[in-house]
Amino acid sequence: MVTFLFWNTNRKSLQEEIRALVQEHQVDVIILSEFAGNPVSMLEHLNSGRSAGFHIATGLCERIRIFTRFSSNFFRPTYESEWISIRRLRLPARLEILVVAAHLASKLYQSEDSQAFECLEIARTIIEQEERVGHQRTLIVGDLNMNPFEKGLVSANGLNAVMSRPVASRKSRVVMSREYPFFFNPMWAHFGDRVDHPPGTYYYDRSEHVNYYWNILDQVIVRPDLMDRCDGERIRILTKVGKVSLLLGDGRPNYQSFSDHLPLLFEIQL
Amino acid sequence: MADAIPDLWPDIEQTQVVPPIAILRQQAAALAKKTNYLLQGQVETITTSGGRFTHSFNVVAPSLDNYTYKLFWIEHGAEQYPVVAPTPETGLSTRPLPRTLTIESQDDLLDYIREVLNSDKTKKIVSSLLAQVKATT
Repeated sequence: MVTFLFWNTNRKSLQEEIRALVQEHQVDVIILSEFAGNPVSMLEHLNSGRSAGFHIATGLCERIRIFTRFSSNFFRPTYESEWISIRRLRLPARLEILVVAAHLASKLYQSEDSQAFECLEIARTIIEQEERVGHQRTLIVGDLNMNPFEKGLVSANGLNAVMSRPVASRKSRVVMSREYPFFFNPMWAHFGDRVDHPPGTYYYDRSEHVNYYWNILDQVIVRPDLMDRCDGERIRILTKVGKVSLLLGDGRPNYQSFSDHLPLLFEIQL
Repeated sequence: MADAIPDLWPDIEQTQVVPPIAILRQQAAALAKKTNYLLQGQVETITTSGGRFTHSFNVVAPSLDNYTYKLFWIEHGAEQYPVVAPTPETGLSTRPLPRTLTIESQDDLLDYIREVLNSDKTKKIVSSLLAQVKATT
């Protein structure tokens, strides 16, 4: 079992909170976006507690920072850009998987259509990398800056991420004589009010006709070949660090003290 | 009777404008030469809906298991200019997305690519990859 933590830290360092989460949940892989701290300082902080043994998994995608409980040699990048870092996770005697860590463009700068076109490019790149490594055990994790229902996520030539395991288990679908491989998106199950669960990962309130308030921009989506190794029930949008709440009194993320995004925790059985 | 139907085409002259993809491929070749083939440039093209062509310029390190970094992209229609491209880095790495700009001519595209290739970000990426390649060979 490999436990992943993803958090958009909203241009803050949040070293203490990250270390506490790592200890509390026995995290193996930390993936951060908008991390404003010094990676070396973060590493020292991580290794000063009970969770010692972390490494910086270096890469050239500046929007993503990764720390691993194991040697970063087991998590080398194969493709990177300003927006994504694609890495092979090759732990000894474990199944190899491909991890796409992403922090995609915000709607502050890109229209929904432009985001969708970028997903087309990313989907094509992922398929190329899967062909290179010879398998489709791929997961995407990060701040996609899109909800699970938006064009970039659901369109066939985009990420083609569907809400249903039975549908995803068909592996692919054909549109206009072209075949597109599925992703399964377990984040659909996290929308709306549930006991002890926040309705999303990011809250946005604006006086306009269409406003969802709660959004799930931070996601993990998996190829059908990884579905059985990713328990959807164990994907958690975290609202606490120990006993400290990451929320304001009205349930929104406490963006002043922490981040405007909530952290995401999930496990992959390898 | 087919001979009775005239050829209605005008004389077709090839444009003197250098296609954007040719400029990119030239820079890709130049990178390989400049790094003694330790790094290679790669131009990938996809056709998007509406007849647009998007060219990605990648830096590839063959000895690092073909590690690839996508440096920048440009996009144009069937007419090769204008070209749309992301605004080059200004040093603000936390900026969510560079806005795009429109490049009207071949000369302006050459200026744009020169600026991208000479940016601090590109220098950092290329030198970092070179160091890794040398450390592993």
